[in-house]
Amino acid sequence: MSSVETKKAVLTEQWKMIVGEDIFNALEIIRDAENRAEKIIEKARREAEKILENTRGRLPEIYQESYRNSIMEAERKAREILEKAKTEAEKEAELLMNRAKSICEDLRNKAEKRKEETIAYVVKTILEI
Amino acid sequence: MAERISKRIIEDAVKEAELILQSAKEEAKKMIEEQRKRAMEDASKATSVLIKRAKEEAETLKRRLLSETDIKVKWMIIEEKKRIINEVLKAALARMEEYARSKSEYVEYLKRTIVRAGVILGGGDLRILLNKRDSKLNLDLEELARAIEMETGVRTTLSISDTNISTVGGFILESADGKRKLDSTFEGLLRTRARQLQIELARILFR
Repeated sequence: MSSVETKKAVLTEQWKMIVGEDIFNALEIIRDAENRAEKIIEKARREAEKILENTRGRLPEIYQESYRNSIMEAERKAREILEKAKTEAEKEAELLMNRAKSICEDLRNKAEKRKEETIAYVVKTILEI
Repeated sequence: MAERISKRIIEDAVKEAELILQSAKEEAKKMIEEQRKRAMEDASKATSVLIKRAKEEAETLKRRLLSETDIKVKWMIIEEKKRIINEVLKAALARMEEYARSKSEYVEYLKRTIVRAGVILGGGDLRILLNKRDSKLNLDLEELARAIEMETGVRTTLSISDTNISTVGGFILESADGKRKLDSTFEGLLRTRARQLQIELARILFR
């Protein structure tokens, strides 16, 4: 037994004699609980530090992922804008084409009514009869 | 008593440990959120450019599509007008072919126009090119030559060429040396006056 341990054992015995064995034992139980509590808190602190450390390690990846997601979302929106514009223009173009078909139909109807008159005009003009 | 105190100490320690872990988790969550926010803010410049460019492209696309359609529509109407006019010209040629089959009237027409063409060419030795059917008609060439002579004061002879041309009616008149030529076939006359006729027909047909 070392001299420190011997001194500690002597002091403990003296302390036990001063406070009495019951109180000494009770204090021992409390001290033991305090030690365990300290270990529990220490363990929690280590775990918390680990969590924060892990998170810090993941931050560049999170940044890249968020940046990429933002760009991808913008690209999706851009595609949507273009698609919408194309659909609108195609719709408008279809209306214009339908209007043109209607104009052509009108032209045919008008021409049909004046066809005879026009043929006669051409024959008369060419043959001068 | 000591056990109760001991139990309480452990319970408090567990609670404190939970609080420490909870706080760490919240802190981690906050760090992640802030990082995400930072990334989004950094990306926002690039995304704004992307969206702005997409909007500009959309406008250009729209304008281009509509402009193409506008041109297509104009062409469609022009093509339709051309088709109708060509149909009329085709029908007119068919009508002229019918006229060419009405012997007496047509013969008179030929005589009149041969004289006119002869005068335009200035008389001389002239050759008439006709289609196979018309080359058999009796045109009294001497009388026609005299009429040309009277108008031009140039001695004129007229002959029917052995070569037949492909036409529904009318003729080609040319000098014997082939240097002067006048196409008076119905197709030729239509070709010559096509531009003027198209304008006039468009005015009558689509007014």
